[in-house]
Amino acid sequence: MKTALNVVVWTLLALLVCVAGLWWFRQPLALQLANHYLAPHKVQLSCLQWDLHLQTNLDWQVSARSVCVQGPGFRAEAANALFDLSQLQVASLQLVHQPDNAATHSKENQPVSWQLPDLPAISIDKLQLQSPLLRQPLEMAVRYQQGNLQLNGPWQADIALKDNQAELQLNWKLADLANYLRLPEALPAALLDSPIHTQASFDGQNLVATNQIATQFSYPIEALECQMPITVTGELALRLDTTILQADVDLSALPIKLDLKHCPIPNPAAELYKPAQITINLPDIAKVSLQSLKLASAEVQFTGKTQGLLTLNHIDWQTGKPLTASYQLNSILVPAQPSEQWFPLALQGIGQIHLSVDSQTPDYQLSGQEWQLSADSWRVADWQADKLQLNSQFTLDSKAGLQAELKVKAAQALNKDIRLGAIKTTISLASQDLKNVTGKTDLSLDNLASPDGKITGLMHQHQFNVQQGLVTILGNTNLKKLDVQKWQLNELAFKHELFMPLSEPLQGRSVHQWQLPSGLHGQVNQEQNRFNLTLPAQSSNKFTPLLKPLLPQLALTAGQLAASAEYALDTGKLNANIDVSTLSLSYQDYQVENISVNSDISWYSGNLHLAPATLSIKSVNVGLPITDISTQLGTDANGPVLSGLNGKLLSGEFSLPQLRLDNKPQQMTLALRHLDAGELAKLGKDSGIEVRGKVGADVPIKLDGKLVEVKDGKLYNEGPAKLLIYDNAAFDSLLASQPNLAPSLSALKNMDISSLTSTVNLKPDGWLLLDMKIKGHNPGKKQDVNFNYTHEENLFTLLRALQLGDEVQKKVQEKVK
Amino acid sequence: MRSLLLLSALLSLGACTHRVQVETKEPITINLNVKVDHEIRVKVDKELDSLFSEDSELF
Repeated sequence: MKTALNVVVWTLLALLVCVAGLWWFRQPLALQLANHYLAPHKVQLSCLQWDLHLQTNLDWQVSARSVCVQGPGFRAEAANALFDLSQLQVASLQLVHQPDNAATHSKENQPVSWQLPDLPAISIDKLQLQSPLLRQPLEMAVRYQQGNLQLNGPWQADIALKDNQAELQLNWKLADLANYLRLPEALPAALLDSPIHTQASFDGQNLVATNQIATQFSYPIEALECQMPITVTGELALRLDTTILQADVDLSALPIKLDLKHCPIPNPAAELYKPAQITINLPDIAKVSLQSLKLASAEVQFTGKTQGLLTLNHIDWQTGKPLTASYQLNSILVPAQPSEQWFPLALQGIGQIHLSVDSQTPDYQLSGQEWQLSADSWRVADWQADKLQLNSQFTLDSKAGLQAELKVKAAQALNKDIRLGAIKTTISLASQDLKNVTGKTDLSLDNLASPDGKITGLMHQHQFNVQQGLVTILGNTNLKKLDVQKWQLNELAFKHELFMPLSEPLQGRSVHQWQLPSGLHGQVNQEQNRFNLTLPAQSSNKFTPLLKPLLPQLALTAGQLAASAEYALDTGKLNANIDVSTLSLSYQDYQVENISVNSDISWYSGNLHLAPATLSIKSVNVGLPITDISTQLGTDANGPVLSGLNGKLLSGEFSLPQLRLDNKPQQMTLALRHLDAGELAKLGKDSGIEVRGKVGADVPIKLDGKLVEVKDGKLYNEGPAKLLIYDNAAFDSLLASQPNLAPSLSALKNMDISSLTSTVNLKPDGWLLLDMKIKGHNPGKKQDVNFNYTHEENLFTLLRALQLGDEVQKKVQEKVK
Repeated sequence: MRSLLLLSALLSLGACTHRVQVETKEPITINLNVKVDHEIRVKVDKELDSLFSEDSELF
């Protein structure tokens, strides 16, 4: 008995020792035991201090001063918790989100369902959530009882936990998030304060939520200095798989409308064509995760007078890769107020977008193909183009820059009374920094017609280079045919060099060289607002194509011509030099040999100024040879004038003090000296009349435009002269008709002239009146003779008759040939 | 060629009127007054009709 008692005692003692030991070591034992069961879930209990109390109702209660739990992606510390079979009370629970400590998310190693156990009533007075994703810790009180979970913090939410699902209805606003999440700073207050009604459910894996949003706010657009009204009304649906943190976001019922009416665009054209409203629709579900974004399509719809649709397709982004998408634009741009200058345009195009936002400097690439801008009729300023079409393809790359090709064609273009037919232009350009550009332009123009002339077959090419704001253009132009007034020139060639600052085009310089098929060539230099025309010395016959239309019977047969001119745009002053060297020409039957003059010409203040220059002509043959002509070319207060004109004719000489080269009325006296009377008589082409001796004349000439008048011109003999008439048909006829006067008239056949005086008058209508008085002596008959001769004849009619005869005969001979 | 000759011959015709007075006392004085009136007439042979019709700018 004693032995049994001892056994019991020792057993009790042993149990007591065990229980005391267990109790004494309850903390580490509980820690080890809990970790044993938590290990499969990769959760570890790092601290646990608890006690067991017997309550007055004889129920046991567990109190824990601290509980520390650590698992994948989180750490939790609870303090002052009380637990009995009916409830759990926690004074404070700190839950720390540790993404760096999170295991790799994969469906295989995550729970696929949330098995909610039967929970006692739970009360957490202070639940503090900490996360790098939160701007500050989120604190709230949590109450749970019989499937109802209440959160009381920044938001008040009632969550029903039923059938392993948590269901939530929450009214909240973005402003509530602003204290905890980093939202874009520019979000306006109206948007932040807009109420959002959220209905969500969570099954342990998937969070499914619908958010009803109805907000209208104004978004500040700093560039346009305006507030843009934005309306967002509808539903945002979200399905988030928490195991892989991937969400399906459905924005198809949440159109975003941007009202552009209150944001005027500074560019007048952009403002006129601006749509009234832009609506952004995302008709497809976006798949979003921390590592990727996929969206089948997004639509940007333009409404108002301008209408169109920009569709973004295959929007795709993955970590480490750029965001890619393709786009298609179809739009009709209609101006707010149609006018002659502003008209509907059709704009369409397709292309691709690549956008990389990983680096600090975003990399992007925007490409376009089949871009087309077309208009039935396009007008700007005085220009109008019909059936205008612009096609383009381009690539805009943040590193490689811009590469583009533009093709512009128009059926025709009009500028006032200038008409351009069938224009085609191709511009290829490349720019790495969007400031410096290189490229080339090819332009063809079927024809250009204006009241002044017509161009047929224009081809122009140039290469251009824009560097540091300086434009360099090297190019050439070919004209198949140029008709300007009387000129018709074929196969004209031009070369162009142009250098000008973009900011001040007139401060640049350019060189334009041109050449005609005849070989005539020259160039125009432009430097700032000064233009220089240079015609280098070249054979005069190269000028024939230019002169022929003006004077068909003029031919330059020898000599050289050179010219230069400088024109200042600001002052309107023209300075020129014309150098004519040993130029010979023929005009009709007239020949002019060796013309030389070097003349400086200027034009300013509406007047022509000629610097004094000597004009010399070796000979002029107008049926009457005139040689050694010399004169001084210049201007006086009234205009251009020839001074000291002199030369030789009829073995004598002539001089004219001054001859004005304008149409103003003028008077002058032509002095003729030492003319050979015999040569003078031969001009009459009357055979059988011979005159010897010298004569002089003073001929007052009055010019008024094309009218010529001679009044009281004097012709006289210079010393003794002689008249011989023999076998002259007219004289013989006179004698035969006047037989009774024949003996006296015969005294004229051989007469020594001692005095010859005559008066010459030429009326503006061409009538010549010659009144000649000759005193002489017939040595054969030893008889003094006074011969008074008057002659009336219309010189103009005579000249016209002679000219007409020559013309008719020449034409007929040409035809017969 | 015959036609050409005929044409040129007929192109310019002048009507010359003159008046002569002579005083026989010493010294003798002769007064000769001449006035020429030009009249332009063109007569074309049939052979040249076609040529002129092709070039009406002759006149």
